[in-house]
Amino acid sequence: MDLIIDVVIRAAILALAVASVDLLLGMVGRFSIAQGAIYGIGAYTVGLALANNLVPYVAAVVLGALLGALVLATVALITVRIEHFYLAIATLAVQVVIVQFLGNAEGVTGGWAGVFGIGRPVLGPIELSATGLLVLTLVVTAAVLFAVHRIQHSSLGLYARAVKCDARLAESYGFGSRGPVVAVFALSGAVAAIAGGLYAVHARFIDPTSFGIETSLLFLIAYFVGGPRWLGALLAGVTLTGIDQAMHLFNLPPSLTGPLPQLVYGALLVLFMLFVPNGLQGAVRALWRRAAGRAEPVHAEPHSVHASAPEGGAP
Amino acid sequence: MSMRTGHRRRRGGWAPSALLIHLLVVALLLAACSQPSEEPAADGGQDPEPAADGGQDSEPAAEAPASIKIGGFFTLSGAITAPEGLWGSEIAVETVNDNGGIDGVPLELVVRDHQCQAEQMGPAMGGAVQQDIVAGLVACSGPALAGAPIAAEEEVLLFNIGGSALELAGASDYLFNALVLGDQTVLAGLNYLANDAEVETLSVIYANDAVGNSLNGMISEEADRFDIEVLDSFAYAPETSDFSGVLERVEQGQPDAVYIASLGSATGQIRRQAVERGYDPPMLSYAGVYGEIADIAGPALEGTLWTSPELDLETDVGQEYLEKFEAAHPDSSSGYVDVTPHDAILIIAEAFRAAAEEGGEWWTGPRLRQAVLEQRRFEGLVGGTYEFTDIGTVVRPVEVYRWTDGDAEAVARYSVSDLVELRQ
Amino acid sequence: MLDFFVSGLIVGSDLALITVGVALIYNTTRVFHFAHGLVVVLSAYTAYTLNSAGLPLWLAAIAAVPVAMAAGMLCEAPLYRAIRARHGGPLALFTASFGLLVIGTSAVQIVWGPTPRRYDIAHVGESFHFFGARVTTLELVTVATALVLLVAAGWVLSRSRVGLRMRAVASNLERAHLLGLRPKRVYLMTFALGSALAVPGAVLHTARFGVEPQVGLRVILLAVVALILAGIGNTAGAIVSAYLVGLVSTVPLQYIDPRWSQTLVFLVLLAVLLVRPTGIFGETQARRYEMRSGH
Repeated sequence: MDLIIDVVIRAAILALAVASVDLLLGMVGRFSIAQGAIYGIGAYTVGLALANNLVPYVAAVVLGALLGALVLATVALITVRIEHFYLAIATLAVQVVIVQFLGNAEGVTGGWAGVFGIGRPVLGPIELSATGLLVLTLVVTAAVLFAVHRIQHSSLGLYARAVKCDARLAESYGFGSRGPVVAVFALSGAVAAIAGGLYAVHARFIDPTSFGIETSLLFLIAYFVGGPRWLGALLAGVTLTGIDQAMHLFNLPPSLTGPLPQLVYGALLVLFMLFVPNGLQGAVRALWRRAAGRAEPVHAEPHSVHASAPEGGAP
Repeated sequence: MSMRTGHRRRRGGWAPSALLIHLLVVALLLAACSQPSEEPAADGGQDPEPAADGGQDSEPAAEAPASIKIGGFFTLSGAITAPEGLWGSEIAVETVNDNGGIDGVPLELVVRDHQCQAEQMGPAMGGAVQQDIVAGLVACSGPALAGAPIAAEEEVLLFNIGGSALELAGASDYLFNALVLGDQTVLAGLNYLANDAEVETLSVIYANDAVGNSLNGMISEEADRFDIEVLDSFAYAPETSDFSGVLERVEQGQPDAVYIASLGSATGQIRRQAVERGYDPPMLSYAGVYGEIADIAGPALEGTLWTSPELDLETDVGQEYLEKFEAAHPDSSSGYVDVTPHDAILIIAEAFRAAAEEGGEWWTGPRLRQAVLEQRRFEGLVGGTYEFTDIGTVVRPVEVYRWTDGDAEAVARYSVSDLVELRQ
Repeated sequence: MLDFFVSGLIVGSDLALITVGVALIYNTTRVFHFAHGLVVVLSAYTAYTLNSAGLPLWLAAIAAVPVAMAAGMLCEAPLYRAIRARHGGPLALFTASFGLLVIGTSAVQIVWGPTPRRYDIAHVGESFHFFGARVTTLELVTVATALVLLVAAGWVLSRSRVGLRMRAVASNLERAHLLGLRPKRVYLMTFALGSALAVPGAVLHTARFGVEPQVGLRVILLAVVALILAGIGNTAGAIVSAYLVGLVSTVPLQYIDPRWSQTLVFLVLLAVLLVRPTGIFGETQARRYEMRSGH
């Protein structure tokens, strides 16, 4: 049972992280390689709060979410003139700086040695067991995904999409292009930090290496595999965690346990770019439509990988 | 920003993904199905809650399990890889089971790879606990520290067989260190530098991780007592490969010697990069020089000093073990990395035998812990004698080695009483 | 002071050899070729394998050139080409390229194991003094090789027929088509040339720091930083900026704790991008819009 709980929790956390990527890429077409570090900010806020008995769990998660939102909103503000690959690398720089801070400022964070002794979360009178944590994770994931879904279809979502299509055109219609972008970044930061807050109490130990570039890139891989929207996020979480777990079933020789899942992720990424540009989500929707006997849609998903591609590039 | 719509997905596009989903569902089903098959094996201690409270006398009729499961939490891949831990314990499990197990119950090893990363220890232990392990071996400081509170919670007796951070002393009631912790080796190392190598000034290069920070703190605290002045200490991020900047700074300070407080291949890298730039001060490493360290440093290794728990394999049990080890792994050489887990398994077996003689439900973690604490001293093992203290540390002799003409040469030995003396 | 400056030039030398490949490939084919890191790691391990079989390192490095060229061209020929054919944008190309790097790194780790390896080289520990700064034989070879090869590459690009074709395709694909150039072949040549230049960079880098699977990712990240710092679209600028990255990562080491050096490099990058969002030598926003509307 414990194993299943572990897998489901990990899948749910990954789904949340993917949703934070989807908010950026899907809504404003901006690319962030700092999501792993923001996730780390959430995890560290909760981890340090619980390990040192500073504030209750819920308060720590909220604090983490606020901090994540604040940091990513700041990133949005300072990078507002930066675009495309430049933006990707600028966010990469933010990622590196945050993780180096987590590792090197040991007075605050515990350094590369990490944070030990993160207690079980307490909600009011109840200390959560493994099953309790599972329920909490699922509830939070569902709530956040639903909220993200609603936001994507709210007026903010509409503004954001207008900005994404053509920032200058949107401005000429009287929308500020900066506001929606910053708001979406803040939301994305909050979602990533909430995912980190769940991770901290699941792993019960955190150190900066869990929030490095690899983690940011894993979230992107997961996004491209799953595809946009809540369905994509869920499919991404389930797929990648499932693959990782499936590897453990085969009793692989030790030399393969590290690199083989990586190899499969990489291969998935390449294959999806070639054959499934809308991710699993697109494939599942197509399948469902076919089953329902509807015709193929004329237009592609508005935020598919290909459509949201930055820069005109090769003509 | 340009946006390309109108790209229509090709018809064949979703076929591979449908296949993937299919595979995935099958994989998940397999994951789910493999669970129930494990469960019947473990009736006795199945439900952790009642076993925790009144396990010993409330259910006298309980039957011994088909096997006693011991978790093996090793680092089998990643930056610090030491399969030797697994090899040593496999040999020990075989030896115990060939001699009839414990009261007829064989030992079984449940192996998990945490890649020396502490955050993988929680989930790894979760999975192993679910298979009803009652004891475990853990390599690496980070995972041992992360596992310690969980061990107490789950009542699984953990033996640290590879970590040496000072924080491991008394980290948990359910953690015993079968390996000498950093404090003793640092004392031995500083004493050697001060008295045998006539070192007065020292620079420290340490890994910015659990072990490195802890050792660096220890070195700067203790150096005074040996009349050594620590000029500088430089941290490097784990997984660094370029040490040129650190070495440049160290060289500017012109210390008499350099203390490398880290594990893994960094010692080899630092040593090689220093020698290649023509800088060759005495270097004392905390990490034992074996396998990968020797490989990466090559000829530059000559003259490197390091501290290590003493290991004398010239005894009868030692020779017997060596034969088994060499038969199983002809290309590797044995060292304390594989001897310590081997001996830890034998200690677990010996303690369980003592518990079994007392009767009752002897196969639980709490009973094992009680038996180890009652006996304390375990003799005649491959690595000699292990004596556990109240805070779960072990006292054992330490040696200083020097790499001379392509081989390890012992240059100083500190017995248990020497170390006690140095501490005062 | 001078010591740290010289270290910066050395770090910049092998970085420049790797960065120039990424820049060349991006400017000609518009692929953000992250998988260049795969070419780096493959060349290093090929050279390592041949070297441990008894070949001297320089010969092993030359023998690794065709392997690297083949690896680079294989990224282009079936994969990037197929994605372009499916109307995949730059993001799809970049993502697939990153996927290739992940595949390559893990495959290398499966074949050769995770532990760092070492070439068998002579002249270890030999060093010279230049105006008070000490330089080892290996470092001298690194700097000299980089200089010679970068000048040679510059000549090829500006003077030779191959270079002219590349620049033609880079500046206007359709016109190049009309002129009878075959862009697909030019793309392949670009990948071959860029990958060949990565070999000396990879071998010289790993000769100093050891051959290990992660080296590709580590080096390509720095190369990408150099590229972005320079501004996409300027090959010569990318070379200058590679040396700049080398200097920024070493010169401050005499004042700051070495553990913060990586942070500093990325902070400098961030600062430059805040002031010049398209890099130091990059085209400005206005210029780009001009170009785009001209299409």
